[in-house]
Amino acid sequence: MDYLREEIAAIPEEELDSFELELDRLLGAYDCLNMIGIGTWYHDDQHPGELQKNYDAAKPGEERPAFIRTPDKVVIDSLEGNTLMQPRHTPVIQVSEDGTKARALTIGFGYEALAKFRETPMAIYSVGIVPGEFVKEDGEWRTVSGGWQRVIKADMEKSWIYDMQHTNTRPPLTPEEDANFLGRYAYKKDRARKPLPAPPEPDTFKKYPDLGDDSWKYKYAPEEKK
Amino acid sequence: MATTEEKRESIYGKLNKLKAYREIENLMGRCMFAFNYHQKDAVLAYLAMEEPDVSVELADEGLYVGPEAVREYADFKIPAEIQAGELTDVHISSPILEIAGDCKTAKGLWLCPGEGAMLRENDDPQAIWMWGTLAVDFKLVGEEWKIWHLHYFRLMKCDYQQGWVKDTSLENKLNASMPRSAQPTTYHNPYTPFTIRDCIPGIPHPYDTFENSDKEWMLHNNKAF
Repeated sequence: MDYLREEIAAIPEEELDSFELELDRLLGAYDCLNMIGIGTWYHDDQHPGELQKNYDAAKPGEERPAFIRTPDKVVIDSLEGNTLMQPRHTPVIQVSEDGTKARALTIGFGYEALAKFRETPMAIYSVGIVPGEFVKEDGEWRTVSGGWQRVIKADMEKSWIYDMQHTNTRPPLTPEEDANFLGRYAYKKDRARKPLPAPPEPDTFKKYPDLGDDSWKYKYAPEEKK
Repeated sequence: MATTEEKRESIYGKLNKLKAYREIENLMGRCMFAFNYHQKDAVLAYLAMEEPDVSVELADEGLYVGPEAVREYADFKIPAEIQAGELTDVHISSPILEIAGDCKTAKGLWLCPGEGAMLRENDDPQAIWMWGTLAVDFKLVGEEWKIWHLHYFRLMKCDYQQGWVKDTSLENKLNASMPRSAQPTTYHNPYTPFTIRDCIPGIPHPYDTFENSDKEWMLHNNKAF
């Protein structure tokens, strides 16, 4: 790596800051990937609140920012046989020009086993699209919002053509409630898919500078934004 | 306010880290392809066989420590040829990768979907799912990153038709003899419909230098960030 020292020594002094910022942006994308991986791992561990606690731990005594969303409706019971394993792939990660914010979109593809009352769990295939926003504070990247938009969640034995499981809540969601929640854009054999959510574009923070403004996800279908 | 030399040193460190991320991801990808293609020599070339404590542990097939033990296990585990109808295809995804502050070691965790086909006598091959988690330590050997300690934790392995809830029959190894150098398995607790899963392996946390105490990070169920 000594050739790197020679290359770095040749960088004009006035360009060092911008060079380092670009490096920070590239490294930031890896940090966001780590956060995505951590979120995936904790989600299966049935502790999705850990990510919010992480932010709280870093900012003791401060009010949690409004853009941090808590999955208040979703129930992931700590029951024997329940599991939720959704590895994330196809990452699109866009770090802001100043290196302090990032947006990402990934696909989670996996399997679940879901029991609600200690009955034998149902084996489920599930796929969802997962947007996320991240912020760099005090030199450290943190997840500030996530989400999950179902593509499929189907009884393994029936397939997604013939089965769509609702998000597990108590009391259970009606079909209409589920269709207005995480199942809003889920696959249906009798309707065309909408191009939602959109991946973050290079200019996402120029067009939508504020974290928590989810307009970027609706780029291809702004009429869908509530 | 950093001096010019401090800035250049900082840039050097960050470039090293960025290079390490890319090289380790490529190393892991190449190793997975080699494993799936049954290229034993290539797999061994990606391991830190120069290190006396290089180690490999896959599911409940024992822990192999040291170059000779790892080589013996590779001879046992990776057949010389892929037979017609056989398929092993393990992927890596969802990386959590921490490069040490000194850029000499790294820790990584991947979720690993996988599909396969197991040969059967007098029948078509059996389509199976085989999913797991890979927790790996890496070491910079010379100027090359190598796999230092690798532990594959099985999540589930099941018949494709029956699925992971109904079929847990494939999750433990057959009661057959293992290589002589096998040490006891340190952890094997795949999915069953009768238990609550532990969050093991733990996740790697940022660190500066690999210490002896770091060797156990994979087996920790530590939720603290």
